[in-house]
Amino acid sequence: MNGFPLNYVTSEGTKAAAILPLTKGVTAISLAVILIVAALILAAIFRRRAVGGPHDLVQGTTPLHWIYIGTGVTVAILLGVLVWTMATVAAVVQPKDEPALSLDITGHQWWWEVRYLDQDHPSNIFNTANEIHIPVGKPIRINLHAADVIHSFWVPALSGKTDMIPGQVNTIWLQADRPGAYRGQCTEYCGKQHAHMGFTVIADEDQKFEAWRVAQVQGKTPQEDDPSAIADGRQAFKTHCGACHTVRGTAAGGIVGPDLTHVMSRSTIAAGTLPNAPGWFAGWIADPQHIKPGAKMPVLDISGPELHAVTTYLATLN
Amino acid sequence: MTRVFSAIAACGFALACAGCDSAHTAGPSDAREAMAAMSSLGCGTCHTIPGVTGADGKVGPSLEHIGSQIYIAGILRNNPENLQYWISHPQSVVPGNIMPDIPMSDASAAQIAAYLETLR
Ligand code: HEC
Ligand code: HEC
Ligand SMILES: [Cu+2]
Repeated sequence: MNGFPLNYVTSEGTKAAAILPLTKGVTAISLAVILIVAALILAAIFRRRAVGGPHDLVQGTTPLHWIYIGTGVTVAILLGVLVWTMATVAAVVQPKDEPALSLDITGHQWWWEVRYLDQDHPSNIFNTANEIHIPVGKPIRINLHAADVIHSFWVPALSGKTDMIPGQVNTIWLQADRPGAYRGQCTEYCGKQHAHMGFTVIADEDQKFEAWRVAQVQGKTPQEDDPSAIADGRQAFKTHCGACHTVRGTAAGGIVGPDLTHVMSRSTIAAGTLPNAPGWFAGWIADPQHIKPGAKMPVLDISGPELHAVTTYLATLN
Repeated sequence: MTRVFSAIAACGFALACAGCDSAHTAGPSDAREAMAAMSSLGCGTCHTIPGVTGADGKVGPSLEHIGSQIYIAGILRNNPENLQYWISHPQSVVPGNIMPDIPMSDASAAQIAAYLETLR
């Protein structure tokens, strides 16, 4: 749903570009080994013994030297790959420049919490989910956390995989070289909805990114002149959803589910599972368990008009 | 030589015809467009709709036999005009029901209504 293939044979980012030759090289070596082994097996199958019985199995020399040759060649190649891997990993441990931005990303069953950090201006810190906007052409530091079980963070076009482990912080960096939307996915089996735990990295030019960031920092304080449908929706949201979801600037401050302060600015919902459009959105709220069975959002005990008011209210959170 | 040629030509002809045939049996293009519209608008998160991939929602009524129903949503007589009106403006028919007013073109709404009327 709403995915583009997770493409790991082309790269769009500095770090992925550094890893790609290794990926291709190791794949080529593995294919060569498969071909050689297959050819030998086929040769053994089709090479017939000479007519006259088994006596030609008895050879003057033992074939033991082939084992030494085979093992020797394999060890040499594996050592070469080991050195190559270590050199590649060492080259991408740290970015060349100081990261332009630091994020905390936390894996939850089955969505991604994204927190934009700012050491100098704490008022610029904000939370969002499942869609990670970054400025293009700059290294971004990401501290990976896990809230429940082990997850793994992977954006194939930009970077390799890194596990997210409860109680431990793994710090990585990535950089997008071209503007675009890059699909990411949890790659460590983490329970029933692991497959529906996707996200998108959106790399934009500086100006566009900055505009997005400034908008996200804003809360959604209730206004005096809000139409009653929206005020009703906000009230119903506080009652039925506020224990799990936050809308900054209102009484809803739950942290069990994604921050919804700017939910309408995202292009997908439920961790890349559904497009963020009115039909899908209302369908998700009415029956999340049908779309993602087992998800930590239950089917809620809420009346039709209240549910409709909530979706009307949420539609204003852009 | 000519035999081989005509055999190849015959095969090609048969293949080409298989192609046009299947295009016809897949249904009129209006129906296909209606199904595509419903699948991109997300009707299937709430409804079970035959012909729409993944449309197995249980939030609202199944639309499997909507074409033979006498009333729509228990309030409008079932005819193509009313059905089209319901699909694009359910909130003005039954305010506060959970089916949202989903923005769509009149043409899409008409196509969807026409297709749903065939589900008997
Ligand atoms: C018990 C906690 C809980 C309650 C109550 C709850 N939610 Fe959720 N909600 C979640 C969790 C957890 C997720 C993430 C699910 C996932 O993607 O696996 C979520 C996801 C969502 C999303 C998708 C957000 C995104 O960006 O992907 C929306 C929208 C949403 N909830 C709306 C609501 C509304 C509206 C209500 C009240 C009617 C509500 N939720 C009540 C826990 C809750
Ligand atoms: C959020 C869930 C939801 C979505 C999305 C949704 N519907 Fe509905 N729909 C309902 C509900 C609930 C009803 C019953 C309303 C009533 O009877 O007042 C309904 C009723 C209907 C009916 C009348 C059914 C009957 O048996 O009388 C039709 C037809 C219909 N919807 C078509 C659609 C189409 C087409 C779409 C997509 C464009 C759509 N719906 C999207 C929830 C939804
Ligand atoms: Cu997972």
